[in-house]
Amino acid sequence: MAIMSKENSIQNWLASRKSENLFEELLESAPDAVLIVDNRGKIVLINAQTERLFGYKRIELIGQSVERLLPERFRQGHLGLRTGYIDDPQVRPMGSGLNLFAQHKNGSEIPVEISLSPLETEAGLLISSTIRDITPRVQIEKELRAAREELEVRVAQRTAELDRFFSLSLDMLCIAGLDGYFKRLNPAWESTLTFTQEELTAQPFINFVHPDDQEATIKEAANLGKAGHVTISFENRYQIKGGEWRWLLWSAVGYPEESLIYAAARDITERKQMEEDLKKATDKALEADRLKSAFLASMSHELRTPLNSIIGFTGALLRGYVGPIEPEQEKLLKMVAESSHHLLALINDVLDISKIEADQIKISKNLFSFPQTVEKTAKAMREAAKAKGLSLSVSVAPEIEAIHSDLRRVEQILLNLVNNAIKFTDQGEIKIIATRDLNYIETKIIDTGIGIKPDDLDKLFKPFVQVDTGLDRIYEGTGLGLSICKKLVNLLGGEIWVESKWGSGSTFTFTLPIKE
Amino acid sequence: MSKKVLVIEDNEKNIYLVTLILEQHGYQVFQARDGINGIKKAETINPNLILLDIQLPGLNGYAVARRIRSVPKLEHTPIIAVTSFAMVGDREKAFEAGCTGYIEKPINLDTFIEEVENSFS
Repeated sequence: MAIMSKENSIQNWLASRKSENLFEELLESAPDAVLIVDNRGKIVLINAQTERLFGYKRIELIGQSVERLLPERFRQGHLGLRTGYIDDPQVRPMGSGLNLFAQHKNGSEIPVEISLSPLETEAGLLISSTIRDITPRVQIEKELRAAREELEVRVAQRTAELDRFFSLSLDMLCIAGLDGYFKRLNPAWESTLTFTQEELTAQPFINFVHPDDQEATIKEAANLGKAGHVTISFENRYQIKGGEWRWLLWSAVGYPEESLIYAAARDITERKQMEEDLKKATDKALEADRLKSAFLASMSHELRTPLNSIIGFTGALLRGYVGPIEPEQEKLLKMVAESSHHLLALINDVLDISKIEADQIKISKNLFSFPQTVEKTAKAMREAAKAKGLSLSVSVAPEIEAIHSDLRRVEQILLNLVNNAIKFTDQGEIKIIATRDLNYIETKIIDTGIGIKPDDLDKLFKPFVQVDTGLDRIYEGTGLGLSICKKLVNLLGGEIWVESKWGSGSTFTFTLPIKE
Repeated sequence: MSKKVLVIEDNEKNIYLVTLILEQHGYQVFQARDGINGIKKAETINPNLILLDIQLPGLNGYAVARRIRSVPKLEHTPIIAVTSFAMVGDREKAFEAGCTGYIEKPINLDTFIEEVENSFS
């Protein structure tokens, strides 16, 4: 090929290409901006994408120096680079990792990637430059970077938080390997077991476990090596420096794929001790209660044996089994008999209350006449009432007949209440009034005695309580009578209560179911 | 001829008292201080009634009652348990062992004789 002036030869070359129309079509079909520059840096050809990217018309760029498309600050440097490239032209692909910028006609900068390839033509060396707008990618990268930075900050915060909690926890937190060694321990381990972290991690953790608990601990750790196993409420003893043992309560979960166990342990030694003390105390109380019952039974027996002689021989004497007795002797013997019967009643009360407290009282119900029972009680007590100058009257509603209840217990209740009424009444009268409704008989024992202070009303039915009468006078009795009455009435299916006005008498009322 | 009552009881005062009451009411009283002697005497004299203390030294009253019941000729002899146990179940235990009556100490002179007389009916 003949050598022509440079300008002409390029144009000629282009013209020849144009005639084929192929080259331009290629350029236009490229997705990126393509511009072709000669070896002096003059733009000789651009495609439509270049016009769009830079905002220039084709006419404005052809023949212009390529530096025009660069931001001002890069232009000087580019001249040198361009000259270097012309001296040693090579294909340079995109993605070189350089941060390159182009400048739009309006002055704005556009992040770009640029590939270069030399074109050896008949007209000399041309450089084809493909310019890709990477604004969207840069934007995404920027966002990604920002997101990553934010994430890193958050992870760091979380880690710091976790570390703080890990250090702060009163519970002993640890990460242990399935190899049997602790991997990480929080400070609670040191404060609880008094071994240092180094000492605790230097040997298999099983060495710190109480010999009696080792088998169970190994088994539990092995279970944690299986997927899905969670430890809750596992307890074992760990040694502390100096040889003592602490009870630990564990919750743990295993991550077999990481060969790790995450676990939290709590020192429950004090709790264990308290539980043990409580159990001991309970056992002791139960034993004491059992001893009390046994003692009461045996004491009751021992007291009854001599009483048997006293009551029996006094009775034998009074009945003249061994000969006639003088009136004065009879009077004294009767006093002995009375006192011994009183003593017997007290012993029976104590025995009764101990039976009631042990839920050992037996009720045996039969059909009997209620009016007769009341009359019998009144008859037994009339003497005592008369001795104090009190009248004792009975009023049983005519519709009251038989009752299905425990005769002995009903008598005991009536005797107790009437006896109390007489005991606490110095003048006036005692009335027993019985009425009925469909299912219950209601019996009132009304006295005109000293009455009961309002504060004392609820103490009244508790065992061993005899309320302070406020008078310089102590009444005979165990303080058990009303408590026994209440228990018995309740056992028979009824209720008992008291109404009283301090200084002007009391009314005790109890109900009993008529039928079974 | 008066009825024979065997009293098996280790407490001297109780024996004396029971004997006094029973003799007063015309019974012929035999005494034994422990269970083994009680059983022997019961076989020998074949009493009309046995009064049996439950808390005896050695063989207790329940065991004595069971042994007496196993003697053919004493199979139907009334046995009244006399006890100061007075705890729940004592009465039941006595009846289970073969007693036919139950008297709680201290004995009441009136009801005691009633119980003794009832045991023959």
